[in-house]
Amino acid sequence: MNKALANILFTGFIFVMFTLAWIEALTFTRLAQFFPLYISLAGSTLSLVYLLKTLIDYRKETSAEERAEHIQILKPLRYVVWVLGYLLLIYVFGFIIATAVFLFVFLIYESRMKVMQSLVSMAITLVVVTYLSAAINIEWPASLLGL
Amino acid sequence: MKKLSLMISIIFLCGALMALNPLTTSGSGEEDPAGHNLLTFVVPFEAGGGTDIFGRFFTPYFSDQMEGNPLVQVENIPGGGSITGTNEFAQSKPKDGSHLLTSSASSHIPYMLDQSSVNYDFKNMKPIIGSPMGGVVYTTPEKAEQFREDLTSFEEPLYYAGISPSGLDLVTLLSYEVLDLNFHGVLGYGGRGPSRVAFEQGESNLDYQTTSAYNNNVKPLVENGTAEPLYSLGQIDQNGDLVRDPQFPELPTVEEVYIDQYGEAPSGEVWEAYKQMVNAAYTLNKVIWVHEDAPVESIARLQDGAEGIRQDEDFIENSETVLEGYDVLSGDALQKQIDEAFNVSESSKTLIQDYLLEKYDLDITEL
Amino acid sequence: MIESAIEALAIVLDPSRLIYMFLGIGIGIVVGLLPGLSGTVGMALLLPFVFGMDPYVGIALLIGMVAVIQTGDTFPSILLGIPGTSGSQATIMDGYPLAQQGKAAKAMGAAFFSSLVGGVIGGIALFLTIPFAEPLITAFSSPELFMLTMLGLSMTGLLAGKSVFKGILAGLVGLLLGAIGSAPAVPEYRYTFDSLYLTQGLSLPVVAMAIFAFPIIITMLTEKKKVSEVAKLEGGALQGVMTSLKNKFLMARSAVIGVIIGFIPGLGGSVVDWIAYGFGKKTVKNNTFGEGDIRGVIAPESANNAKEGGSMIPTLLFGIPGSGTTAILLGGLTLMGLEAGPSMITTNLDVTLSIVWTLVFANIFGAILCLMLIRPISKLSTISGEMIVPFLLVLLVIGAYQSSLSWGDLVVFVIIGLFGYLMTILDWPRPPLLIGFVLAMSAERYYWISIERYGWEWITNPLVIILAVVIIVLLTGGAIMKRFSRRIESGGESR
Repeated sequence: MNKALANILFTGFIFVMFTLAWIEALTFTRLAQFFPLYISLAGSTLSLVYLLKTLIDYRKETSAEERAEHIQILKPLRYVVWVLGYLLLIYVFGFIIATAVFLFVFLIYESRMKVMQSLVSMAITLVVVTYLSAAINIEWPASLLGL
Repeated sequence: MKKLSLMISIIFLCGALMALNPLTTSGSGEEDPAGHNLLTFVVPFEAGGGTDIFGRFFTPYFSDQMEGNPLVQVENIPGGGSITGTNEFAQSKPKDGSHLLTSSASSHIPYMLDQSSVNYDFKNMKPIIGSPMGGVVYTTPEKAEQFREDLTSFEEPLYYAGISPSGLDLVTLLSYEVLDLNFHGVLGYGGRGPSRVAFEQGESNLDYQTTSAYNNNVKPLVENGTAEPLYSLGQIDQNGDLVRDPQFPELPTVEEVYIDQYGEAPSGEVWEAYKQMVNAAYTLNKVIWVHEDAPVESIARLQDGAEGIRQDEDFIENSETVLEGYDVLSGDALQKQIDEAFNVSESSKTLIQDYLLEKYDLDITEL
Repeated sequence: MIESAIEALAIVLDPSRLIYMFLGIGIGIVVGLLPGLSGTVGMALLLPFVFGMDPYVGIALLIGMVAVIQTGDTFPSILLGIPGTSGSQATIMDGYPLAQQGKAAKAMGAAFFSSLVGGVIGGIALFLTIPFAEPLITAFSSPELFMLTMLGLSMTGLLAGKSVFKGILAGLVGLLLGAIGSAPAVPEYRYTFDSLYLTQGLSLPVVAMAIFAFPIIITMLTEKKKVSEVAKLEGGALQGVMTSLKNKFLMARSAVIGVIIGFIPGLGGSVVDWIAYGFGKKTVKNNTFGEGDIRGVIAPESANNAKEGGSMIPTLLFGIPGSGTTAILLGGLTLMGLEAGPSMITTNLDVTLSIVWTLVFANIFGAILCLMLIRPISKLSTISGEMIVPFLLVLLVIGAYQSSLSWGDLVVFVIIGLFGYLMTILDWPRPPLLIGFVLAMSAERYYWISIERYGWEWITNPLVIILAVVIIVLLTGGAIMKRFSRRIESGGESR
């Protein structure tokens, strides 16, 4: 996808968000309403204006340079999936196990570390992290299994 | 590899810095090496607030006075204006007597008014120790004079700076309603500190502060002649009557002010609602609870411990700053007070709910 | 007062108390260094230990820690482009580009030295304002506070970058995010979708990390790059110190801004760095702010350390905490048997003065310690992305979770993080979003109180008008000033 088009979509998303926000704001009582209503109406109008402006620019192809500029989608998505996977692991197995698995697998697949190296760095991280938690009372996310 | 080892050494450095701190490592009560039993105080606020300080203040005394000298730790579960943590305590903390809840007026008032996010019931909990707090309403010297002469004579409303109509302000607001005072409540300040500064600036001319804040920050104003107390919110005694605040024996109660002005004792639903709220929010400002389902012997141990704390000389000496000099309640007296306070009549409840809806646009049952 | 100050100095320099101050400094630097852990966490961590402590010892520990957090948090801001705490976001703007150019050491040298100077100025300001604190604080009523939030919001205009549309929209998104949770005027919950987590609103550390750290993580992986684009690190810390010295007026100016903003209760210190950065951008001649101008590091770093001194004034003398950190400090004082209030400048004056000294010393020692750590730590910027990111992610997850110990923190982190990533690749400026978010609550609160209390009368308050003029000058006048100064430089044609 090229950048200009992505920008249009993103602006469209923001427009929808602001619009939904002011529709929702209509249900609030008077005192809670004025601030979000002002903000979202302003946002809604402004994003619409900007959306139209970018659409016109896009039509006119004035931004040929930007058009040529493509943005990556699959690659970032892959790493976002890594992050989500890590969180899912934490959710299911608890922080310590999830961190161990995530670090080990990530270091081998993505960072191309040797097995020994990644084992060592994983172990050290875990030790440091548990030590920190004991020393300064840092708490972990709760998991399904309660670990 | 060199870079990696460098990174690891940096992480170690952080750890080493932590290790420099012998306090934190030795002091944290996570582990339980000596086989002591472990007692956890659930505090439904972030560390550092009034309720947290209250809980932490009690931890060493529970450890000293209870049989078996348990290790006592505090667990903060902030969120939802204390509702998240209180719900969590009621629903998912072990009911074996090892977990205690430190509640405050911010959990009591929503409970009494049937706020919809409340998923706890104090009827299923056993109170161990309770501690009162007081409040004083004050104004400027000129207004105070006019107030004493005839409090219905205010042509222009008195401006009251408050935080939120469904919090502790509710009690103060009800006291104005009892007295039928002409006031304009501006609610939305960030805390009692900012509302006091608003008074000092002249943005408001009617304010209240709780005991320690009054003693520390308003007394100096009274001394230099820019503020004058009107009445204390009072305390509820064992018979359910409103009495003078032991910390402010010289200040009249709302009841006395009313008699003075109108020549008769206050009565009616607003008055009843006011007394009820004073009881739940001030006389029982902070309460430590355990699940009612906990084993009988562990409840008994906690109650004995509370009794011991109440008589501990060191405790009495130190409680001056944290508990503002009030006597704590425990045992049967506490239970009786709680039964009284939390038994809200339907009519008081609807009265307050309607009042909040009409005057402050707030439907508390929707929250 | 000078006499009592010297007495307090003797108290502070007592070796048994000095040890605790160094302990506090050590913890403060580590807490600042780790993204997501802020002063609030550090305070909460130390709180259990101050119970019943000798007040001077407790203060050495707590203030020692608070003073240097804004020094230590510079490391991740410059090296990784991740804010160490929410107070050092603006440092990223130029610090990170400098690190990319291989000048991390120089940037950090400048940053730490400015932190030191700013912190010391903050301590001195605390000392000097003690006699005047009361009239100063009561000068700001709600309408003035509202205008001050507007002043903060006008910074979004300065930081918008190329597209004004994008900048304003980002600011509005921030304001809308800030509106989530309970309304100030009435405890009604907005945009919470029946989740109890959202009733408290989004927490600043989570939003700040999501908007700055999450995009960095993904970009570091996708572009497979190191932070520093050049292999050889050039410039030393000393060079940075010299640069700061050359910009001494900028340093002093920013410190004063920091003190003032920290001092005003109700504004919260989290925008100090942005305001100082914005002012710097407007007033520094021939600047390349945003592309790696070292002065863009000096301004916010000086201000955020100075802020701590300023914010002690309302906290200690009025019992009004301006931030989560000072709120816990108040609790800590209670545990040590002290109460904030006017007594802090009468009977407990020595305690207040020992806070002043601790602030000054901790800032000096903290900065020196950080300067010594530059050499080893700045090599981090030459490690490639995929080696460092997994560890960073673990840290960020822990950090985000600490803000309210709830899964909601992590969910918000990812959602806002994705939004921030899109903003990054599409060249939307992110600082306006953060400023909007931080100021949303104050803006709404003080607007409401002003209207409810005064109607529209407040518009004519002299201080309100002055602030309005400042805002207009800032938004438009910068350009005029620049033209003016250019004319002077080019031969003084102006009369």
